[in-house]
Amino acid sequence: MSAQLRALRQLIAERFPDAAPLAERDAHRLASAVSTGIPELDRAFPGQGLPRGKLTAWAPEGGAAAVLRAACRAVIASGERAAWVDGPRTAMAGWTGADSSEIPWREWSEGLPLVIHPSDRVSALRCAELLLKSGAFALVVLDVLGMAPRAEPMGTETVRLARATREGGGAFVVLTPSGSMAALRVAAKLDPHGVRWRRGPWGEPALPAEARIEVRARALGWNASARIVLPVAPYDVRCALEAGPDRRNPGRVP
Amino acid sequence: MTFVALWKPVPTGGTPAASPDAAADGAGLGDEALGDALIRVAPHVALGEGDSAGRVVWADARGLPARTVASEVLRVARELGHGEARVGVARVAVVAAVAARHGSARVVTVKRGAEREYLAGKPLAVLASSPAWSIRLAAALADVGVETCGDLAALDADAVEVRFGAEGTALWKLARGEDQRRIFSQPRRALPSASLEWLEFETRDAERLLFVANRLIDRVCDELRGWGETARTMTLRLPLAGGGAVEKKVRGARATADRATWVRLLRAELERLRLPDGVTGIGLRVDSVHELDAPQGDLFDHGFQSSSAAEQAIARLTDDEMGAAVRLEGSRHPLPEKRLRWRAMEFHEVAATVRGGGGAAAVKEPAAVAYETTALALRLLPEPRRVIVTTKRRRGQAMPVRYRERLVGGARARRGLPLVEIIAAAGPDRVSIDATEATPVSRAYWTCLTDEALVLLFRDEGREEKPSIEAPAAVADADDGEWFLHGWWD
Repeated sequence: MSAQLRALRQLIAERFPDAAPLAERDAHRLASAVSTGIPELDRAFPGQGLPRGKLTAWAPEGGAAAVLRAACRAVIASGERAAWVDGPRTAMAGWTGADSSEIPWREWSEGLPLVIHPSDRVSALRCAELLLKSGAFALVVLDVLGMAPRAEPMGTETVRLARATREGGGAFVVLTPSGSMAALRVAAKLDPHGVRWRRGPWGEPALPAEARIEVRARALGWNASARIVLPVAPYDVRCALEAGPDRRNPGRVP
Repeated sequence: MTFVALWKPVPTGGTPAASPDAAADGAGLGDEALGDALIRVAPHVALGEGDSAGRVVWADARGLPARTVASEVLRVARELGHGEARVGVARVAVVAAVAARHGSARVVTVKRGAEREYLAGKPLAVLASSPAWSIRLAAALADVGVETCGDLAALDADAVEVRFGAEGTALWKLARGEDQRRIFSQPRRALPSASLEWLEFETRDAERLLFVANRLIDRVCDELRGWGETARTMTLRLPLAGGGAVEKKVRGARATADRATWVRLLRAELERLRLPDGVTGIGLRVDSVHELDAPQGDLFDHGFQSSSAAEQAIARLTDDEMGAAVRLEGSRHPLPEKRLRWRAMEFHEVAATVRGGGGAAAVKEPAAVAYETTALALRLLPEPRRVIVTTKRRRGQAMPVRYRERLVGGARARRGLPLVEIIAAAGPDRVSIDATEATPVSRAYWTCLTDEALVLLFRDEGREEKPSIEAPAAVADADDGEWFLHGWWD
């Protein structure tokens, strides 16, 4: 049997010289950090990304969700899974795309992480623990801020989550201003002077076009920061006309 | 399917019986013995129609060499003393029966496709043992000169139905060699179940009940796995000491034969249950079974290896009512809070998402994907939050310059709480709805930049506006309608 297996391996190696055995490829992949999908930001993190098997505390002061959404999409694009435990149920429009004209009237499923709506704060923590322990998710984001006055995991809860993260081997990001027990502490802050506006006809701000986010990453022996500029997605459907041919007057010449 | 029909005529007085069973022929015992013997030759045996002349016994030759089965059936029948037995083989049951009963040889085989032709020359009376036959119908057919199966088969279906009704149509089909009867009905298998009763004591303790149920779950799950099946719903039955029983349906998020999952579900159910009396037994019954879901994997999909773990985790959090996996639905509704909705996903959708998440075909350059889609997007509060806004006039519009949140119940925040200064504000964007909403909506939206975030405020113009001190290009520290914080960009 082993001789046959060796022969098969040799045959595959000859036929597909670029192919790496799944175990080797996975080992290489699992040894690396989870990329956020934004190279400037990855460079600011130790290990070039969010650490696997460790807890990352992210202080949300603007732009955190956008960066983590990008990380989720990058994880899914690389063939792994991501989950987002959305306690306050406020994350919606960010999953539809950057351009408001792309907001269609359909369901979104492609490229989205598994979004979980927990029933309460404790359930949110248990959901995160379960997902982390399963080992099937490369990235789990826990967002409980806003569910209750002090909703973020504290004390033994953090210990349990950190243990589940280590067991599962995925990256775990919890949105919290407190960084206790975190291997990596990140703070993302919107720079109010870095917001670029589209101007109206009278020169006043009409629409925010892009914003600069300052991200600071701190870990043991590590302190780095990065500045990234992200577009701002409009909240409304600005085009009055429906997409498609103009049916106001069939004989009208544009 | 190939049918082998054994025609077993009632023995005449001069025919000796080779066995005691044969002597008891016609009373049922002989049929049973014949059936027992034939089941060694064919996988399914059924007793067919009989009359004073004899009886047809069916043998299923599907997937087997029909001629061999036929000769074996004949041999067995002869050994049991049915020396006059004959066998018919055909793809259609009625043709096999006719061939056996009215055939010229001991074994008559009707080739595939020649069934109608075989029946055509036979008199209609050969169908007399079929359920569609009646003397009245035979007389009616004879009156119009239909004497053979071929005569009847040659008629038009509509004409037969109009003249002879449903019975006539059924007989017409048989005459054409069309027989849809299910000769070998599949007996319904009893679904896995297990139960245990005791008389010495009664209990209401969930832990003790679970201890007993544990063994029952083992048996039920083993049986399910043995059949390659899973169950989504089981019925838990608890007989009570005072009579009667409590029945509860236990349902998981997904069909499974996993023992640990069912133990967990039963534990949760037993802990919730309020028993009116002591329990003297416990029973567990599977309500319906599903095939074991074994998706085809992709050798190069590293997500496939962990998909079952992901499914298990989601199923568990659904079972324990910790949360639900949701999917986003969009519409063209002009109100931001109604434009997008979350919808709870069915488990099969979750499974498809989890299984389809990875895949070699889906692998792209992560950075490219992230840059395509990354943007600060609006996060809407579940309910718009009332705020106190200080405004100033700009081109005739009340533009917010700072705001402070209100407390619950409409009370203002106490003095000293930090005001949020607005650095820049863009707007107003007006949204007015009259026809589609129960109450008309009229809002003026402002996109505001503060020291910390980009926020979305709106003034509800449909509400009564309180008097305010307003001066052109001057700050007015007073209410200017009802203002709400709707969300922020993140």
